[in-house]
Amino acid sequence: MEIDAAKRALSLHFVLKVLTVGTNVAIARVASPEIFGQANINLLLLYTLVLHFTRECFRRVAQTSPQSALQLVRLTQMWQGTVCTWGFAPVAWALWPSADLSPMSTAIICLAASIEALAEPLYAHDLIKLEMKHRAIAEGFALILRSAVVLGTITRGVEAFALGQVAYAIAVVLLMRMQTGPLRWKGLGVERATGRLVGTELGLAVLKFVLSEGEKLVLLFFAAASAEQGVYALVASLGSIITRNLFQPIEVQLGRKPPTAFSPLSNRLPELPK
Amino acid sequence: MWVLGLGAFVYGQLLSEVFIRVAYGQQWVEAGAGAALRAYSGYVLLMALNGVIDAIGHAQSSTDQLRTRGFIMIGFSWYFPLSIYLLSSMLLAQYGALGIIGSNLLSYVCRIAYCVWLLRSQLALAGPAFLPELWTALSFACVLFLSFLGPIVSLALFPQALLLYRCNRGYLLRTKQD
Repeated sequence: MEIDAAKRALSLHFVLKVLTVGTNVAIARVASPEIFGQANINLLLLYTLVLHFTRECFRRVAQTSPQSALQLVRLTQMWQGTVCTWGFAPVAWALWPSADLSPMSTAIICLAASIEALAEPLYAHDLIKLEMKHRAIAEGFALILRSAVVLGTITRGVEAFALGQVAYAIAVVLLMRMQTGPLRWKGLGVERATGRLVGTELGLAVLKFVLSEGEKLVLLFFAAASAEQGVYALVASLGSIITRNLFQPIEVQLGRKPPTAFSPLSNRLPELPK
Repeated sequence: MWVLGLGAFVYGQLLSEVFIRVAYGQQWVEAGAGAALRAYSGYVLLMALNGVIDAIGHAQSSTDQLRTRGFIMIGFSWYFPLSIYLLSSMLLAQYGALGIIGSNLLSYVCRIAYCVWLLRSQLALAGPAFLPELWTALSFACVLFLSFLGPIVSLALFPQALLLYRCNRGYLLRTKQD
């Protein structure tokens, strides 16, 4: 059952990647490199930042909780993460250091992230149940809707991308809620053990954010021209088709091979004493 | 894996600008996306080489070596963003997106050099014997030949792609001269 779920997860990842690249091509054909760069580097970095800590801290805590057999407890921790995101979003909006974006577009993107945070417990619920179909349907439809909104409002510049992200978030939450049904939760009382685990995971989450988004941070803080940001975003999204879909699975498999698999190099290994 | 990387590199060098022009439009070629994609294809090749060498090294390591390797890789995790930070501050202003791809390329060259050095010591190979053994195998020569033959055949079959490429380069040169 787990293997089937893993296969479905891989298929979902591949389909969503193809859909994302396809919609990106459609948008890039009508948007200028400057607008595309501001939206895909600057705006998306803020969006990722707002959601990152919920995903990294609370999702991991929910997975490693001592009471993880009780689904109710895990979902309660995910709801706590959603509430934390709502608290973090206005702070991120107020402190975001970017002169290129209007306050309206950053406010809209923070709103979109806050809406999508509602879907996190629903994602967690589906993970517990090993149910991948709901997420595939929700994200696939939401991606198409986002592209339609961006293309329809492209004259508004970067705000079009922010509005598209709001449409995406609303669609994901509604579709996930319709498919998953109502979720039970225990309230927002935070246990001491959970608080300590979140604190530990927070440090790792900051490190992971710097490592995974390092290039975007460099482009943003060294004030690269918006068009250059757009070019980099476009090229990196094309390159990631090969690296994530082809190289990553092969690399994982290669790492699991026994040393004898690497002939003729393995012939060079010194003989073990008898 | 590095066959895929090599394919991406060879086709990337030849067809990047044509692809960007056809898929995304002229404005992206003028913004430098074709040149950036060409540079990125080199980065893909280095990622493929690093992936293979790293995986072989990982599989060949003993428990102690794996522990040491783990510590060194943690160091690399810090070195990687630091190198991007330092190099990009110098390169970004002058070369834009190409600068950040260049700093990534240099980072990967360092990673590959470390992995090759580690693998050499693991396999107890002396002198320069290791590299020719790994990289001048008959299969590698065949792959290289086919990788270069592929684009040439495809351009012979679809000459309009080459025409587009040349027109495009001519347009860019004229624009620069103006």
